[in-house]
Amino acid sequence: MIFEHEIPGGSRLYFGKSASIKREIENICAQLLMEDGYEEMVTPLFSYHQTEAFDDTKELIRVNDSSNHIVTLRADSTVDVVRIATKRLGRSMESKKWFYIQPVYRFPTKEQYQVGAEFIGGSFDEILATASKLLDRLGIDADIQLANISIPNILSDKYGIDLNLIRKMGVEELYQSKYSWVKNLLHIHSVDDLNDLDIYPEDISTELNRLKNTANSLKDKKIVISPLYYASLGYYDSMIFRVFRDNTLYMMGGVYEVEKSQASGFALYTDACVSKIMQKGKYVK
Amino acid sequence: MLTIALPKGRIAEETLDIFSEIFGGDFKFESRKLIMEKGGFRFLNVRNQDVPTYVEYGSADLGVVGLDVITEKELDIIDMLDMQLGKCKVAIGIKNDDTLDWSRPDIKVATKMVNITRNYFASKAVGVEIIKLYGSIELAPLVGLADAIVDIVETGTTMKENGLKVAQDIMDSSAHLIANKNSFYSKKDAILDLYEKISDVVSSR
Repeated sequence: MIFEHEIPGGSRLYFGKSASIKREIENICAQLLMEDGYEEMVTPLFSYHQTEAFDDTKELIRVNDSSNHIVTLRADSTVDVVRIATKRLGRSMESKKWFYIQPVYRFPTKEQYQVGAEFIGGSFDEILATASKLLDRLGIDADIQLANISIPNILSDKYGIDLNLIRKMGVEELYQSKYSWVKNLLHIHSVDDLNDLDIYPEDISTELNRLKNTANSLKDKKIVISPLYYASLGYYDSMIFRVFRDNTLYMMGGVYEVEKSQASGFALYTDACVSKIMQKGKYVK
Repeated sequence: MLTIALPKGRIAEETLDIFSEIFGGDFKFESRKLIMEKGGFRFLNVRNQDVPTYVEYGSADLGVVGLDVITEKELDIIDMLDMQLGKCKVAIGIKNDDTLDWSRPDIKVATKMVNITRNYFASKAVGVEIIKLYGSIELAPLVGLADAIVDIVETGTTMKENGLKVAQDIMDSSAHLIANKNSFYSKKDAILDLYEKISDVVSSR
């Protein structure tokens, strides 16, 4: 039996104070992103192309269009924003910097509000700088985790270390790797751990240097370095970042390639921010 | 400080013995207390099946729980170390006089472990009707509720005493050290330091 007041599990309801906080967060984000030269886009709720973003397509909510083609509800905004910007608006709009404020939907009834920015042709450091400014503006005090998906990919392709082992962080097996430096890689945690990279093969140390250079460019931030972190979103292929505190993930972003377009972007998880403010008082400045 | 969720009972005691061996002193929950702080650690005394939930939601950084529970719950945690404690098997049990007929279109199985059961029978391409029970699983075949059971088997005594036998092992299980993903990255130095110490004790036994 479904009661009159019931809403499906995982869906979102904001009213009064929580709705006001949500709106304030979105306004702050929109203002900062427009100052940084981003233009707003609202993408369709229905999409033909979401499967490219997900390793596990079970999360997609599927329906059919009038020709019986499978369409899915928007479960991730990045792929559609970049595709529409490059394939549909490319000739009429010059902008390479787009932001969106809209929810995503995942099976069975999970709803998640996001604010995101995508910079077509943009670098990791550029998008991270924007994200970092946004965190400051919102007053979010959290760890910034830096990772580089190239490292797990190299370990898999060149050194035969199973990507699934890295994905699930199989500590016991990684400690026993025939390459003794894999254990050191696992231990890297802070920027200081990247001072001496001589023990690593050149291909790995090159990628670790990218992490080091980025970490050094972030002043006054709590940085966590995780060379073996592997993102669950399929399009990230190089440098990524996550912003979290305790068990709450506030933001995630990185560089990726969609339809042969190199881009960088991030998503701020609005619901997590609203929830934290409701629990612990206002931290939006 | 690291917070560690332990399953009430023997596994908690044996895990705390390992902490005593590593750090010295007496690591022990006082009577009915559910939280103990000692040696820079906070231990939570929780129900076995709840350990991965405390860890996944970040109320505990680490936990010790059976591989069967980890597999059954399918939670998003890091499985760090087989602590070689509480060894047992997850197995299919049937009545002593029966044989497991894999050619049947479907088999009725009573179990607490719905996901492990579903996945195992799916891997064998055999239809299964799963009846979820919360205890005294061995009773189900005896009263005709199910053709078979899927349950934890340590010595096999409980099955034997109830006129059942093991028809097929599904998986080996033992207590594993698990970590919350964000805790693993934010407290990596402390967690890997503890991992190495526990691993040394486990290897030396």
